Amino acid sequence: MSKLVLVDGAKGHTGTFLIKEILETKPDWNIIATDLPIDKRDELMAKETIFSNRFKYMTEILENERILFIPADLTQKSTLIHLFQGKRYDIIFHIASLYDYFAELELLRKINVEGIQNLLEIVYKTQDLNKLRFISWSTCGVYGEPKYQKNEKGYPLPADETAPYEPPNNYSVSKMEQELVLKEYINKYQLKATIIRPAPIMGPYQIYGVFHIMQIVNKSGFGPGIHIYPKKKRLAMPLIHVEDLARSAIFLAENEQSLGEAYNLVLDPCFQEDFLEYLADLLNVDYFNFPVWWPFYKIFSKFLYWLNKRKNEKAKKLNSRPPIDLSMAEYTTHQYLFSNKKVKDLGFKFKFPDFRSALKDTVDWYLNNKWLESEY
Amino acid sequence: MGFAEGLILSFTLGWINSYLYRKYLRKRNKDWIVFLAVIFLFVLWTVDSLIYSNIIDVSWLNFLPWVNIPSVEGGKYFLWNSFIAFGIDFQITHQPGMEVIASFLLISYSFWYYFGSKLGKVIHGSKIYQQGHYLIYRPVKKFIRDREKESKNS
Repeated sequence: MSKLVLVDGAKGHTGTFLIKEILETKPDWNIIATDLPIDKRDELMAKETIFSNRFKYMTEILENERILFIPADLTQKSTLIHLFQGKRYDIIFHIASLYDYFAELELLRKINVEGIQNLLEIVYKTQDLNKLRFISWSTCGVYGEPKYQKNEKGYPLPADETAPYEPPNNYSVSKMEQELVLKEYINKYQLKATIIRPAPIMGPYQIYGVFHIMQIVNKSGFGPGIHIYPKKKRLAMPLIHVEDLARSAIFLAENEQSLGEAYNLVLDPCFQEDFLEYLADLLNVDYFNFPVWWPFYKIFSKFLYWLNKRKNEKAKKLNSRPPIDLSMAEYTTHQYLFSNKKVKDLGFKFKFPDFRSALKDTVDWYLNNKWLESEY
Repeated sequence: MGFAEGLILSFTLGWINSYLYRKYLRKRNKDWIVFLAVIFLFVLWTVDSLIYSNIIDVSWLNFLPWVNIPSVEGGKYFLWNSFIAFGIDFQITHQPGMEVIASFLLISYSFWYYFGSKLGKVIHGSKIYQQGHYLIYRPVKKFIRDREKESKNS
């Protein structure tokens, strides 16, 4: 059945992959794509040039004839009118946000919270809420580090979608507030919305986040094989492949049971030490096994966090960005373990169900496209 | 060059050589890491053997007021007490049977060299584009400069 869908944040990493997925699997869907005008986007998305300005998303996909691109700015209501004038959407994929751990809370709120407010206001005025499906991107970060239930051996069990909000950084705070705005529309106006909470995204073209780990391991030439003891203290590595994220968004948009619900989108649990060992293997760098007692690891990781904090402050003074934003370093000190059971129970099948397949696909792409240096 | 200095020098040069290899030599020939090890160890073993057999006469160091190398078997005395040149005299005299220990020490140069080069690899990386642990500790200014350079080159 023919559908008209709106994808905002269309020039971003997830946006381009969602459009690619729609073009490949939904031949009767027409897409209105939107994102910031180019100059404004370049100015805001400084994170995309954190390593080099040669890395670009696959925005060429927007030149497809089934796509109409209309630039707009969520923070300026007047620019949104063109998106909705004379159009009745079947699905809106609200991806657009500022995902930047280095950004100030004020700016994050302006884009992520006021942005969705502006969007929903105009949606409410112009669209048929009985027909429209609204899929909004949030983050697993809204949970922070939840209080985990434990199994009989004391190992933590993955947290599900009922875990309370406890956002640990500015970005996650803005995403939590964004969710609250959306929930208000769900409750008040029966908006048919679904919230998706992806874990850190990896996959081809990914520049910010997991790519940092790959850059560090590849450039440093070693995988830090810190094995934490006791084993129940091992830290998890929540991840999702961008293709699965795009596929799941479409899946949820077509599934009536997902109305008003939130879904964690994360691979089956994997641990940081396994992830790093396999990454080192794929990148052909040394990997040292280094067993560490948990209290010593905490001291060591706090030292690294402190070091990174100094670098953040120094970079701010120099009016620049540090190589690793402070919130990223929190992954070395906090347990982020989330369950994907809810989306699986709904019938969604991951293309990359485990971290190995997702990581191999990603690293192979980086090496083939020279985003990660190699001598060959 | 005595045994103690040889050990320290082996370790230090192993480290320095691994840095030079990553920075300048690997792009010319990947086998340079082996060439450097062979050249260095060959030179060190040769020099020490020549001192041991008194072919290289180290008694010229006696011009220093704090040095007193005996004229008989001065080479052996120097090898065991090489810090004498810096004013530290352990006064170890060569006894029969100490040749075995001397041989072990000479052979251990290769291990110390290896440890040094391994540590150098961890600190500086081994492939042309790698930076080792230095990547984590490098100053922010250096990171910003590297990024600008990378962007210009692209």
